[in-house]
Amino acid sequence: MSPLGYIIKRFFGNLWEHPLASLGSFLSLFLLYLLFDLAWVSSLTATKYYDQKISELEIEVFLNDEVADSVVPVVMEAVASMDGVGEMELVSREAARSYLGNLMGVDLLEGLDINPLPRSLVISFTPDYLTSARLDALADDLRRIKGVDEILFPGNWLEKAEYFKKLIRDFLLLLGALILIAVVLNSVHSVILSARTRLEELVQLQLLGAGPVFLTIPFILEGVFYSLTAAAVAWLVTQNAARILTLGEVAVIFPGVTEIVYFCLAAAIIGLLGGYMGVRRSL
Amino acid sequence: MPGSKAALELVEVVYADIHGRKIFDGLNLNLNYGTTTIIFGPTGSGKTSLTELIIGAESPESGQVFLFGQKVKAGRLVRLAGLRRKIGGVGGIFTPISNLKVKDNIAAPLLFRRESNFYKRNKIEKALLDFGLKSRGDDLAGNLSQGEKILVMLARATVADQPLLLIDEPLAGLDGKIREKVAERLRRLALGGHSMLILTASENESFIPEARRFRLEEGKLA
Repeated sequence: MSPLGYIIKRFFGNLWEHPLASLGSFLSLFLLYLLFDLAWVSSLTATKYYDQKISELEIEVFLNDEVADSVVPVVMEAVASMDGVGEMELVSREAARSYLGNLMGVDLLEGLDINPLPRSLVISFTPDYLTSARLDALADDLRRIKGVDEILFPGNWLEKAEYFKKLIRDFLLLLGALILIAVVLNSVHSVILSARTRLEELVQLQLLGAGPVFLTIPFILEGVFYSLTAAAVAWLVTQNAARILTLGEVAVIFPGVTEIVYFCLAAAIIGLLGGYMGVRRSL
Repeated sequence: MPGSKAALELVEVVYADIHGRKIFDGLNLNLNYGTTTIIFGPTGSGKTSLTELIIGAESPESGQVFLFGQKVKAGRLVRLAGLRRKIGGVGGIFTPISNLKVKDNIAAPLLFRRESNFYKRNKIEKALLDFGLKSRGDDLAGNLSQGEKILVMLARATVADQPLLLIDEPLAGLDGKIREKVAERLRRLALGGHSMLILTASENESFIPEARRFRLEEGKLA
């Protein structure tokens, strides 16, 4: 038999000669990767949902009654020229009245000689300005424009949303890091167990002149195999579970194919490192 | 400098075990190619330690070990692997691999040889025949008797034409026919020009009359 033949035979031998131990190693890694996948998908879905909600944010800028209608376009031009301002809509006094009427179901201003409702500008923002810090700064700038009376925007809500987003992100990062550590430890110990069942063979082959590469490769392959297959199967399960899982109006977001390929490659590298560390600790 | 005729040379080797007990204190040994040396020593005298020093599994505190003219340095795994391929080991730290078949045990040293599978198979068949193991080729080595295990190790130690054989207690625990069979194989190997270092506890072993004989006493050869 050639060295390559031995390595391949030993690799499959490691997998099949102790099927329950192999199954246990695979399942524990699979469950860890499944947890990681769920955390990843949750993170992407939550981020997407958050971005969607944040993108609907608007500031309403109420104009002073003293601003003549002829000056309104000038104010609008000043607002439009500011960084971060996306779309802008002028709500006239009549439109405000109509909106109020629709809201209340009755025209509250009926009988009044004048319409006391203010004119306002409803402003949406470019995506890079959708943070509480930048919107606060933008609101301050808007207040300085002559003719602006009052500004309404849900600043507190945005701050809380950002806080929870950071909290969720930190939690998922911590969870992901813990899972990765658990994956590495699991790979190491799976390979240590596998190597210990073959310790006599490894020691004797070492005495007969087997080099470190020859002895470690089957176990490194074993580590790669467990980690890679567990990661790939965990993804398949996650994807298929999403088909039957609906979260109402929230669409479940998955990473792209490229990211999944990178993820599987990373899993293979983790398995490689785990296999190497495991067999080096055993020899 | 190591002698060019020496397959194995130990020069002023000092070695203590992990408890600090001095095992060798200025040990010198010279084993020329094609010769046999038998070292007698009771249990605990350092026979296994000597094997470990020779194959580079342990390092001496001082002194040097040369194999085939090259200095042995523990920890240099790749270089050690190359040297170990030239050594056939029997007994002591060398054992058959119990979960492998007899023929796979014998084939193990051939894994590192760049030879055709056909040539390797022929060598294994010949070794099985030479050592009377033909009928046990497909048996697991773990199921063999002690005598058969020695024969498997002898076959393994010679199948790749290893120039140096390290043999630790070859006849211990053997009696009757199998003892005579192993002794006869050893004589045959000595006559065949193998360089052999035999370590044994019994001074009554006289199965290779032409061998040089030493006794391990107080960490030196006498």
